[in-house]
Amino acid sequence: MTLPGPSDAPFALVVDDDALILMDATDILEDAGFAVLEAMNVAQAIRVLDEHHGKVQLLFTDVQMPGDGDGFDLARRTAELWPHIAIVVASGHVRPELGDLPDGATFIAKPFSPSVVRHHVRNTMPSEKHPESLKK
Amino acid sequence: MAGGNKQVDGLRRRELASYDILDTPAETEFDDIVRVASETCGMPVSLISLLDGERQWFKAETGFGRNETPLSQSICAYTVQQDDVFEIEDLTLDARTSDNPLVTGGPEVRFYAGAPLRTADGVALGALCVLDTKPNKLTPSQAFVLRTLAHQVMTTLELRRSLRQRRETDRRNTAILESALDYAIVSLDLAGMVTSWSPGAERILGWDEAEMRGKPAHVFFTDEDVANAVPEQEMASALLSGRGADERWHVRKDGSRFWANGEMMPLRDEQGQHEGFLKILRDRTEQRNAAAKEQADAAFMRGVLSSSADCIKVLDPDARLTFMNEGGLAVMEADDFNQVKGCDWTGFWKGQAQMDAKAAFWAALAGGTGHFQAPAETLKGTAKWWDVQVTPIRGADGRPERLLVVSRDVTAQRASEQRIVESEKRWRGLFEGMQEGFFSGEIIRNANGKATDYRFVEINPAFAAQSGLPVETVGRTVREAIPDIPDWLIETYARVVDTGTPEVFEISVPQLGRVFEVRAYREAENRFAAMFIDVSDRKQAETRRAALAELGDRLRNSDDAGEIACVAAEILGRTLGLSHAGYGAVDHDRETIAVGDGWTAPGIPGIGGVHSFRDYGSYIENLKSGHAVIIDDVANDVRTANDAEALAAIHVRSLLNLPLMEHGRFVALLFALKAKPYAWTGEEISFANNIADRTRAALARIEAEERQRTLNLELSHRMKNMLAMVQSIATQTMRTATDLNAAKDVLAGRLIALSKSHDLLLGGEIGSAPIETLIESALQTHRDNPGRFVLKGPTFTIGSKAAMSLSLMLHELATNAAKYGALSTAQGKVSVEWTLREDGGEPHCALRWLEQGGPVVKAPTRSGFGSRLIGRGLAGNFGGEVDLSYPATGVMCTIDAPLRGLQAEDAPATSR
Repeated sequence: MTLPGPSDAPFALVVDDDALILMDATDILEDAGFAVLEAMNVAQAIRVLDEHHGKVQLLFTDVQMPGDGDGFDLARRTAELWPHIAIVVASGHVRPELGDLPDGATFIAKPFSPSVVRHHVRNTMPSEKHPESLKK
Repeated sequence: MAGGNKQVDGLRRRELASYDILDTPAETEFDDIVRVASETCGMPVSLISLLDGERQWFKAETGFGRNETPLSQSICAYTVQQDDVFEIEDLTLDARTSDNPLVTGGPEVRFYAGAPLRTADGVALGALCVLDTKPNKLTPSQAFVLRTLAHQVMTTLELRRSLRQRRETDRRNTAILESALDYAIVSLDLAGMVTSWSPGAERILGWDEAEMRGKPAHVFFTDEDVANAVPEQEMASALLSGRGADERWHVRKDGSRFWANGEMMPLRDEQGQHEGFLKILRDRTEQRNAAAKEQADAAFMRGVLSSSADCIKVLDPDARLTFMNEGGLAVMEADDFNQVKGCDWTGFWKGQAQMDAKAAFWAALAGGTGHFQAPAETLKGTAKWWDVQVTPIRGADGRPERLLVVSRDVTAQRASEQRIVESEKRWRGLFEGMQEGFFSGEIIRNANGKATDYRFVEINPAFAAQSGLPVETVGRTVREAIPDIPDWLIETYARVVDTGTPEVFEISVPQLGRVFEVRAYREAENRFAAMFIDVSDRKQAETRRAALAELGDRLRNSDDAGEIACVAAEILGRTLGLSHAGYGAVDHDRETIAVGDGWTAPGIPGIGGVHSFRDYGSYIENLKSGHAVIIDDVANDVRTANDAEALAAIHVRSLLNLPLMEHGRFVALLFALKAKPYAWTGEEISFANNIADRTRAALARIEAEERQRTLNLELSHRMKNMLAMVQSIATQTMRTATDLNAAKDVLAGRLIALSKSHDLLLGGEIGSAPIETLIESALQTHRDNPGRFVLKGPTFTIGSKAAMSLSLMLHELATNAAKYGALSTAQGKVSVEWTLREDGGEPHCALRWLEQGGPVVKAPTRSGFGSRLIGRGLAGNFGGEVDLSYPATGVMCTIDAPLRGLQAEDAPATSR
């Protein structure tokens, strides 16, 4: 996986097992000014974070994915290991129950529109970390 | 009382005094007369009443018991005023007698008839009368007899008086008179004229000597004899033979006839010359009457005997018949007595009856009485039953000299007795043989009158069998027989006895597994009867019906397969009284059954766990072919006999197994087990089948519901994915669009491709489609001639997730080819080939898209959505690697993916 985007842009990790949705989310976040990393399951996402957690400011993840663990597990683990990463969880099939989401994480329902994604990302991340395009 | 005048009374008293009769002792002559009068008239009382001033005195009486009454009570006082027989038919209705004390009280006399006792001078002295205690009427002949007897009374009175007078007036002749008083001695001359007339003649004949001397003797002969010249014949006969004797009727002066024994002798003088005749007469009327009476009595007796329906016989001491009455001849069907006269009476009897007859005969001959009942035939062979009594007829010395046998025909009576016996026997047979149990009992109470027990008075065999109590229990109490008998039962019977109201209730005998309907009713004081009708079958049918209804309710409300199996097992086990019941899943190939909780009778260990059918016999073969297995006793069935011990170890002695088949495979089993040998009834088997069917139906319903739920979830999931995909495609299409109209077409094409793949998926098995069909479908819009596409590769199915991505990828490739590549020229072709291979221990599929015959290819300067989609997006959905290259001869795209990814189902997560 190549590292895209300008060197000064904040990094976002998008996790979704559906390629089309992954592409869509990636496009939305890139438009918002993020440099986007992609993963299609929890294991891939953990590997990406292990390597790049210093640069990653946002985790944008689906819930249900093939393989061990789901998006909630990923969110809780991320919050525990790398508390500086803002977390947005999206699902069309499940709703979070008490204890599913770590503190500070935001849930959005699929399908989502670019403006919904931008709105929630903006609210979830501290404003000083917002990329230039999101500040607009 | 009758009015009379003093003159008449005085006359009567004088006359009576002349007879010197009052207050004299009873005399046979008079006593006989009243007895004859009484018997002739058939009335209990007869009197000779003489009126004596203020009293009437009875010279003779029969049936009255007194010898005088006051005149005020005399009815004869009226008779003396009459000329002839006087009668009052009902004394209570006659003013003269209705208040007579003899009528109002005492003997309660109701009828009176009297004939006056009148002297030759016409003075009435009294009356001969008969009395009855009921209203009556004399027949003419009875009246005649009464009148004649009254005359006889007077004649006798006269006789007494004349006797007395004679004694007084002719002392000289006393000796003669006394000796010859009974003889009339008359002498006649040769011409038959009377020459002397003795006092006896005067007494007997009525005429005195003065009247008769010189008169012919004809006067005391009857007119008929005179006409026949009897007197002359007598005289002639006396002359001829020296004497003549005869007995014939003679006539008295008063005209009355009397029977006389007469003797006529010739009288001769000293020279022996015949000078006349001597006629001596003796009145023999009494003797003759006595003989006549005897004859009459005998006739009466014969009449009595002949009118009797009994067979009355007289036997001599040799048992020979000397007499049989007419009734007897009739009942013996004899034509006349000669037919049986002299026969041995015991010969009429046969066998034991003859022994009885002989015994009775000897008993009577010994002075006792013989009695027996026995059959014998009549002379015409009719079979009859007789009641026979033999008694002795004693002779003058008091010793039995003949025997009286009275036989009564009791055939009809005996037949009715026989019918009663047979009826009793029939009812007894019914009682003994009926299916219903029956007993009668007697309530036993304590000092307070409370019922505490009952005693068996009678029980029939059916009751004995039902209750397990022996027939000998009769006489014992129920508490003696069954110490733990429930109180309510005794109270119920006591209530039936107390109220007299029958009651019907049910009682179950668990030891026998039977239920009885009891109908109890009062039989008598403190007695009741109870009939036991076995209603077990009906009750069981009711129980099974209720069980099925309960099963229906409980299964309807359950969505859990395990619970359904438990409920079915419990109801089956409880209803049929099993040791175990259950519904278990079966592994057809391994021949095992997984027995879940099931149902187990209390006190028996459960049999949960996996069991191998082969451990318990060979009947698995029947089950696998779908046949029910019903074994009444595993020890006696060839399929299980060898493994009976293994079955005994799990408390199984009889079993009922109903297999559930699916596609010819044995998949589940409903089993019913008993710890004892048991003959399964058709009803029970059908009940178990019913349970099995309902259980299967309930499980099938749950399965269908489960499948429906899964399908709904799947559809919802796929719909969301689809919409997400549509959204992504639309967003991407619009983002990169340079021209709105072109974007519309592109978007429409992509959505159509998506839609087609979806159609395919719905057409196949849930969420899968054959790869070839999928590819053809995706490329169909571009197939403007048959040679455009060449598809080649092995057949396998593509899962729903990969199918949509693959369809979309092929759509993008084809769209690009139509715009810039092989499909943009008439000669261009596209080959799609795929192969399968092993890679890293896992099957992979390599699919290659190769365009040929199109314009020279130039690699695109920027990556459009289509190539992005192909290049990085879609293949990731099934874990594939994509390589898209642009050789000048034609675009080539290879997709390499694990088969697992291509076939994965886009299933909704079930973990959440």
